[in-house]
Amino acid sequence: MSRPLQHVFDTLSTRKISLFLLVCLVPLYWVAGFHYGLTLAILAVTVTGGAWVTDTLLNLSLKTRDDLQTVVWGLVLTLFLPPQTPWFAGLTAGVVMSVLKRLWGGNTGLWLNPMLAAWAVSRLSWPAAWSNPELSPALGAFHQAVLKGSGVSPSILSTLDKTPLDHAFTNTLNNSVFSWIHISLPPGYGDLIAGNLSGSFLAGTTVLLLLVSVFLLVERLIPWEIPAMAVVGLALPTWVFGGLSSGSWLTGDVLLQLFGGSFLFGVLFLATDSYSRPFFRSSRWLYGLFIGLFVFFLRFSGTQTDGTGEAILLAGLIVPWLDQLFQRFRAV
Amino acid sequence: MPRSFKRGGLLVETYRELTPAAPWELLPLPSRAILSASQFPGHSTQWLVGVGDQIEEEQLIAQGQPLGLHSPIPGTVEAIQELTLPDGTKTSALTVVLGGEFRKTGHPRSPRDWAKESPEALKTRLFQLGVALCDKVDGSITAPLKALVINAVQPEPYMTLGLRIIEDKQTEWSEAVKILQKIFQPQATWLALDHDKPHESPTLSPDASIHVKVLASRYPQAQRNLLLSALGLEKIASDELLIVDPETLLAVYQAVVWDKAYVDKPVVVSGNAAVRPGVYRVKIGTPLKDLVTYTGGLAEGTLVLQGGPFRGTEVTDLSQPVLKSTSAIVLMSRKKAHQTQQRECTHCGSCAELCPVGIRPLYLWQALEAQDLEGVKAEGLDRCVSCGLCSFICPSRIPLFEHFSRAQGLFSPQGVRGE
Repeated sequence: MSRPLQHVFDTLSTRKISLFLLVCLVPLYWVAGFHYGLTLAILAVTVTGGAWVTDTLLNLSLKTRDDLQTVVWGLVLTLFLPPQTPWFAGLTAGVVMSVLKRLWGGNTGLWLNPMLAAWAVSRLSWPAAWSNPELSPALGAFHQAVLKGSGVSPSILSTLDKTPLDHAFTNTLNNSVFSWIHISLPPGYGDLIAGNLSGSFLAGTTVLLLLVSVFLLVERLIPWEIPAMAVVGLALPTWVFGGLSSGSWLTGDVLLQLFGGSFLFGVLFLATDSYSRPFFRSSRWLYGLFIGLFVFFLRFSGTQTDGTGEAILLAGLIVPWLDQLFQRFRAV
Repeated sequence: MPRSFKRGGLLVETYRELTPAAPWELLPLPSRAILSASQFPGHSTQWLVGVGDQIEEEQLIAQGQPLGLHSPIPGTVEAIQELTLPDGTKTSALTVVLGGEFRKTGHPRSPRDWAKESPEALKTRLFQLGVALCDKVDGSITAPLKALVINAVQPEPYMTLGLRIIEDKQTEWSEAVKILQKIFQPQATWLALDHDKPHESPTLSPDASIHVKVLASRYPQAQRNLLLSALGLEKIASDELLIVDPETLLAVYQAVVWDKAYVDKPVVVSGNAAVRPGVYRVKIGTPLKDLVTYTGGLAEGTLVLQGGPFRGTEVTDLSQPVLKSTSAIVLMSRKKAHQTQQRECTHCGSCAELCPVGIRPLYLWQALEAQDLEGVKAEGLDRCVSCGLCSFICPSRIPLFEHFSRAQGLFSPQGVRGE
């Protein structure tokens, strides 16, 4: 047995990173729990339980250990799934994630993000869950009450792009705040911030995600280059080309794209996953940029309304190439 | 913006406030001095005395190539035994029991007029009095040199001895520089300092022949190649350059000006668990227990390091003696050392991010684990400077530094390193 040479270490350990990430997920689960209650609880238990049991069995057979990482991954994956996902699909996703972690994760140095691979398996196997998104029960009831008070027929919900709540919110902000600086906020942000959108457990977590991102970056839990460059990659082309459908350049609605869908959550929790992100800091700049650009193309040219998961999976394909490229520069 | 080396590294806390300018305390004489035959890594001496011999203060008791070892106290040789140093090196140690008369300490000495002596005579005297010239312990250096570099960059957090000497003993080290300039006739002399706060640069008025360079306080700046890179001297060949630290300058001054053998030295005691941090003047061979006890003792769960937090060696047996190469004893709380069990690699890339020489520590480790010699060579084991940053930052606590150090020891010059 050789003598240990290193005695003092950095404050961050794998266990601490996992615990901090769990802390970050608590407020997101609180909001998602408000919206989806038991549905969320069942899916979280099946995804995380399936992943944890599988990983524990693999750890026992391979004599390895990890620090709650599978639990964190299970909880992240749950939030990324649509609320209509059946429990057995969640269970399958959890198991698949843990198996893929062993096959392609960690020091194997390969590119596949196990969370997103499991998400893709689930999406391909149970497409119905993605095709009929529903408003959360809590917000549905709130909506009914608002519409009842306004005298509008509840059936109008399905025909409206933006809800009356959003209109009221946007008008108030424009009249009382933005008019001072001659800016007019387009409709949509009220729904976005309140979670008054259907289709995702992440609805309504925008503001919390911004707060969580500060914590993640300050505590060095994620590399800042990836989310920063992803934001640039999406924001810049959106601003330049996003308004072309209405006939004008440089008028795209950047904030709605950044805060819409699961983009923020994806670039903070999925794209930064250490198993599949680039190894070198310099590669991460390009990786982040590609994610942003892919999301832009998928949203504006493709059939996707979100595209975050697909974009991160696609960007993962070029990770080995990016690392090879920058290793050559380092070796000079 | 202060200069530094090109990539990687870590901006670190220096903890200089723990050892502010203050008179250096003299540690009481040890009742027993334990003198290791090996005072520097890779260097050893042969005993000239035996068990039962009476010896005098500053008597030459062992001779090596070219350094001598002198007794720090008068007394009787009690034993010569095997000693395992904290880094695992096995050597021989001689124990002297204090007794007899002090014929040097407390008696007036007059300064020598060294300016009249020849460079060769001065150099010989340095080695005879046991002064090692840092990276040239074997004395393999000849004049004239292209550069003399005084490395006063703080090597690691808490290791503030160099700065304390530069600030507190300006007369002594300035004269020592002149002595070395006479011996080695360098074309240029550089003083490399670092500071973590720009307004706290030391107030110096060095000789006009010394180029002062203030560098960023970035670990592992004090490492030879990185220091030279930061100073822009990396193209100078190894045998045309001498790098000395302030501690050596102090020993040069004592030896040449006061004709004093290298029998005592300043040691910094610091760290987040140190009760009375400061600079202490200690006799070579003093058991570390005496030093630690005098400076306030040890609390439960204290990690004792000979050296700094990155590269220091843990001392588990406090009967270990102070060596000529001991410059700091760092006492750290184990709770604040963040020691946890090793986990699986998560491919986070932190090791590569901090590596100052551009190695991919993860892939080098994998090549070593797979015993892939070509891979080891390709990943650059020979470039590793053993700074320990990869192990320090690794959240999975993989002992990369240990693997690399062991592998560097295993591969002979005919193997990976020399090809």
